[in-house]
Amino acid sequence: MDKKESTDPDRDGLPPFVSSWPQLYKLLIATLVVLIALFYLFMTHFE
Amino acid sequence: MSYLDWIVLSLTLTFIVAYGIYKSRENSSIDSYLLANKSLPWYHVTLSLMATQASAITFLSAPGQAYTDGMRFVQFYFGLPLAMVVLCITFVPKFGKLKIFTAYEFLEGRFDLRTRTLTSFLFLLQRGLSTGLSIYAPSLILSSILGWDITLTNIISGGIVMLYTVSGGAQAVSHTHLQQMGIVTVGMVIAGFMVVKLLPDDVSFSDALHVAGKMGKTNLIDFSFDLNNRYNVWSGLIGGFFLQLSYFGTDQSQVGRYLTGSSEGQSKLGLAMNGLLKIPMQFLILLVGVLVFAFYQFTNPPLFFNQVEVDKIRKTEFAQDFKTLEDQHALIQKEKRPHVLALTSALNKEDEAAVDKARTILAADENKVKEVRGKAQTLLSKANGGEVNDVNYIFLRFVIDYLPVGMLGLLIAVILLASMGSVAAAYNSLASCTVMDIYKRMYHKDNEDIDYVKASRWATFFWGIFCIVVAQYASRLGSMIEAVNVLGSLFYGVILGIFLVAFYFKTIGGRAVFYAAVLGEIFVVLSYWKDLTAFLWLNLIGCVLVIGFAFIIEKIWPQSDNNPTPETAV
Repeated sequence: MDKKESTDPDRDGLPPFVSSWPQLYKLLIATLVVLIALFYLFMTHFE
Repeated sequence: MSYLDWIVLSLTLTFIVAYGIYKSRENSSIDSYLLANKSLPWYHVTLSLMATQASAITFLSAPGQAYTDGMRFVQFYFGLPLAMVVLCITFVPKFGKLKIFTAYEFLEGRFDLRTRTLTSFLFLLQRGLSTGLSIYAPSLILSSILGWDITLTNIISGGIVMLYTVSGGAQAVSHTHLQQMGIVTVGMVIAGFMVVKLLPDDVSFSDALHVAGKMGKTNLIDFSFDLNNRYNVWSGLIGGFFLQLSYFGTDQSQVGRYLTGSSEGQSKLGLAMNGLLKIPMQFLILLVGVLVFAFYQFTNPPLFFNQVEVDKIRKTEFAQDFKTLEDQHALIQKEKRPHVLALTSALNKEDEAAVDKARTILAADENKVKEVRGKAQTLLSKANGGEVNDVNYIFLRFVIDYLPVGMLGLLIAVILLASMGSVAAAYNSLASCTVMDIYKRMYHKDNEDIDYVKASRWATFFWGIFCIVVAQYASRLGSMIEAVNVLGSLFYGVILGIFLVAFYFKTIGGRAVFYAAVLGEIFVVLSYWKDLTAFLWLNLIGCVLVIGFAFIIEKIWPQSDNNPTPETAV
């Protein structure tokens, strides 16, 4: 999947800070992990 | 409401409706009416997806939910970014290749007509009912504030949307979403600042969060695995993933939004950005609710937030009983105040022992408050025979009682615009399925384009009326945001199961998946009826059952002609 996507000539819609669609998907999942961690810190800080 | 509030509200609504009608000038083709000519950039797609999901219920119920139950509801959205990734990899390329109008067209090519029709029917049923709830939410506000009859307010709030969706279709829906989301964001940010500003002078933003946190309202994360716990990380990640995948992948009100993208890439980026922004947005809305909770620790809250019900009981034989409960509640609040101040003082001095002591005392105070509120709700139910849950009124009541002139009009506009965004997308999608999956597919295959546009306009009108009628019966469902999600969970898992079989189990044919879907739906409804598990898990159960049943049925009753390829079908 990664190889096929990254060599796709149609890069329309791909933001400049990523080089392929799979990289964007990884970024999305990483953001989710970071958000959960931040929420946990927020909760423990104020509880 | 003051004149200024009315002016702000009227101008905002008039602008959106006029803009929607203006954008609907050139709508002579069905491509334009249902898919906005597939011409929209990614940010249009993102905002349209968000405006469709974030209804008035989001802005009414979520702060109230945070006030009563804390911020744990945010975990419900943890599955969303994962669902966006799967959609970008699987659903968008498939739908893009087929040049379809509705998600269910794909199923006819892969399976057969009856599977397409069954799925489309389940969607029409679920979306028609839940859109009724979306109309009811802002009607509730207007009836509370203006004392209007709820029937009339349902007709007005549902009817305003019909003004531009009937004429403008997807063009008007998508373009107005952009403006709506802009106004909604500005309004909620201002509301958040206002709550902080209304806190006592010696109580900072951080103090307010500490007070709310110590009273259990910042409960954002729960790692415990419990099937009967509605909101924890696992139910959000797993159950939420299936719900969001089903909602965005198979619900035409959302599929119709990213089908309007000017290319596959623009649709994919629109979905990805939605995955990035939705959780922070929901966090901020819940944060407003927590701040309102903190505000009411320093100011007397009403015993019951729905003033209409309170006014009603005052005219009954139970008026004195209710007054007694109000006095008890006021006394508890008065006794509680020094304990809250002791907590803030202990926090400022960083005295852990004093913080723990104050927290224990406040927990006991909160239990007393809950007990009196429970008695009040029971009494209201007995006296008025109506709504006993005031979760949806908490934020609204705060806005009415404490926000300055002009802000009330803006906040009501925000709530109405949010409602209009989701209702408009729903009308458009209901019309798409009615015309493309039923009218065109079954009865009028070769008509002129303009005939389908006319049929779509009539279908939009019909569904508008249907949803307004449903709104009349939506008043006794407790928290509306939960009611909508429960309703979705009853159908989405099964619909998702059908799509996943279509994508990933090429050997399973139409007959097996059709009967599997019927059996799966019966089981899901029974599970909910018998209260076997928390509603979020119904999405997973429905989906797994369809796949499992389809697999078994195909094994024992194989279909010889089940190999149509989705790439060539439809």
